[in-house]
Amino acid sequence: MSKLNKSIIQKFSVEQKQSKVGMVVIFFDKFISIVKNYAIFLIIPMWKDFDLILLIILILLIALFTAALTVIEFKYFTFQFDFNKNDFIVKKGFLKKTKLSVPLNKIQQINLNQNFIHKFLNLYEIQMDTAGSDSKEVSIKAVKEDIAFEIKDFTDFLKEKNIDIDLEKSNESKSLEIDFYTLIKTGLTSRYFQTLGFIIALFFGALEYLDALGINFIPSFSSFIKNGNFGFIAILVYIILIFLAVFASNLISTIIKFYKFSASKTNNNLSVSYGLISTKTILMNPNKVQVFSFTQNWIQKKIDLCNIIIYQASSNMNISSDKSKEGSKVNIPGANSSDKKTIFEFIYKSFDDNEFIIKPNIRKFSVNFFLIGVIPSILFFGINHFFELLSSLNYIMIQTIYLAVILFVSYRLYKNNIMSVSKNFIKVQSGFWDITTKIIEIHKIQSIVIDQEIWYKKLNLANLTLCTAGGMIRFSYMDYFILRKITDNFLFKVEVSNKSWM
Amino acid sequence: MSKNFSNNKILIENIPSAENIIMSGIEKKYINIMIFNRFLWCIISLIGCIISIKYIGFVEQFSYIIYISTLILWAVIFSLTGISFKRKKYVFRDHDLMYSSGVIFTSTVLIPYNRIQHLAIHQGFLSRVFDLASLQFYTAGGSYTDISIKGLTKMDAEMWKEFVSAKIEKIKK
Repeated sequence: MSKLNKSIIQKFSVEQKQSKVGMVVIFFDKFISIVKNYAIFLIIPMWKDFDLILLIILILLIALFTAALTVIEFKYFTFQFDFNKNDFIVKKGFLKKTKLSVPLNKIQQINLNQNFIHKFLNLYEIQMDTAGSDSKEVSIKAVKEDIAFEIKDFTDFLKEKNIDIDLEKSNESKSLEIDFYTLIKTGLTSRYFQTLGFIIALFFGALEYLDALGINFIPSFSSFIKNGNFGFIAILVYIILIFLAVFASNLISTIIKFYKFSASKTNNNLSVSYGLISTKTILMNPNKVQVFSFTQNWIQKKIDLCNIIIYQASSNMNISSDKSKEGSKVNIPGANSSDKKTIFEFIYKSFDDNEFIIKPNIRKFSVNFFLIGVIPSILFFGINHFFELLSSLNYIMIQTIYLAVILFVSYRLYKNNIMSVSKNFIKVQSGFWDITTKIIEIHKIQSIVIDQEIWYKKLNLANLTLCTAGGMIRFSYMDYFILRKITDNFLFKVEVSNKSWM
Repeated sequence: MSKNFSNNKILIENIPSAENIIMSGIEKKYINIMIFNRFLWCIISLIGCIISIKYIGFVEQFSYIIYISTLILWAVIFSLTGISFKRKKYVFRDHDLMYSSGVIFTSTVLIPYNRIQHLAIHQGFLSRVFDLASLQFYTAGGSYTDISIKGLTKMDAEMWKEFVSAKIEKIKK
């Protein structure tokens, strides 16, 4: 088990540079981000009088500039280990020099990532997620495969050394794999509404973009509305087409994201890796898990499938950077109930099912129905009355269908919203189609927020938010008396608990 | 202690309640700062209105409606200053602290001492004039729930900071 042999100590005690081939990765990384940020300034003036030579010259200039930046970054970026202090040291910067030293025990997890270029050149990006809000996240853009795994291995080893573990017993690695067939099933059954919303947003985004480019799309659009066929069958066909688009994009994105999903237990951690174009490896430590969340809809319930997301404590919670949040989030698509049970038990060791169940007030239903059902209907009635868009028969039909759907949705939202409290866990379930259940351990609560709108004071209703280091859970329209009792209970448990939250 | 937790019903009665606690208000002088801040934001929003009407090109006839509604909004906010001041309350207990505020949307934040990451005293320019300071508590739960008690005297803030730091130190041992 002595992974820390002399050659490794010698190797990493001196300053190391990234792989020379890795400059390609750094270059493309920078180039893409520059182009992404400034493309809009290029495209709009280009559209009107397009000049290929000018464009090529511009791109070459940008490439040259990026190349210069890349060489500078490569030249002044070094990393090494101080084995005496157990510190990881990164030096970088040309004009403004930075020296980052991260104590090994502060490193929460080491992720090895690969994007398309990494894969092609057989390189890895090392990402170190650190605890503590003021220290920054350390990432080394491109190193060779052997170095990447050496660093991961010996840092894990040094970290584990501090915590005494019984290696013999826990070294068995049981793995969980999600096969291609399950991924297809997951892709076909998940995230209908999010993807639909995304497609609609994309559609309007495209319209706005066309508008910015000065293309007049309104005549063709309005002629479609006027002359298009809006009979019953035509509408059915449109709906089916939209659904097909949703299915297709879900299927593709699921497969690209989670291709070859595998999770294996190593010592105390769960190591998860997945991805078709870029492979991600995430290490999950049960102590750092804050929120265990799983989503299941009606179809998935029938075929015994659910999507699990595990939120770990992340160092950069305060800064809303998506990258760091993504790094601390573990996705498990298409798990069946026994997988779910295995993972849950692996993280929490136990589960007590003696639950105290709390339901929201009926206001949750009526207020929702009023806000998304009645108010838009009144607005629509007004608009229709003034501009005479629809014949009265069509209006009544659409209005009735809309209200019926909203009635059903608000009822489901109300009915599915359940909070249950047991000895160690709090569980909140919500949603109308995709039903998400979030579970937190009581002793991992960081703070509690009780909020109340003034008009609910007389009704004795309030909302409860429980915050952990990996996200929060919220339960609204709750009886104030019960809320006070359970928050006192939670506070008491947090305050007497000796267990650490991370 | 946690062994006693098997029977929820009984324990719920025994646990000290956060409900009937008498909370202390903040320093009277702070109301000056509140009025000043509101005044500043009022002027900024009016300037914003003027600029947006002039340059973005709102329809002329709507401009009065925009001005009037902005002024009404600020009149309401100004008239609620006194209540808003009275609603800002805090209390330090043996194991946690509690801060509540808000007029229309009231909120109460509770943080146990053993979950506080660090705490800091902030003093702005105006606060220095009135010898006030704000005491902020940071947790790992994110900025949404960090408590910032504004309008303490500098001395009180220092004192509470010492008090809570001592509590945290004690818990760590």
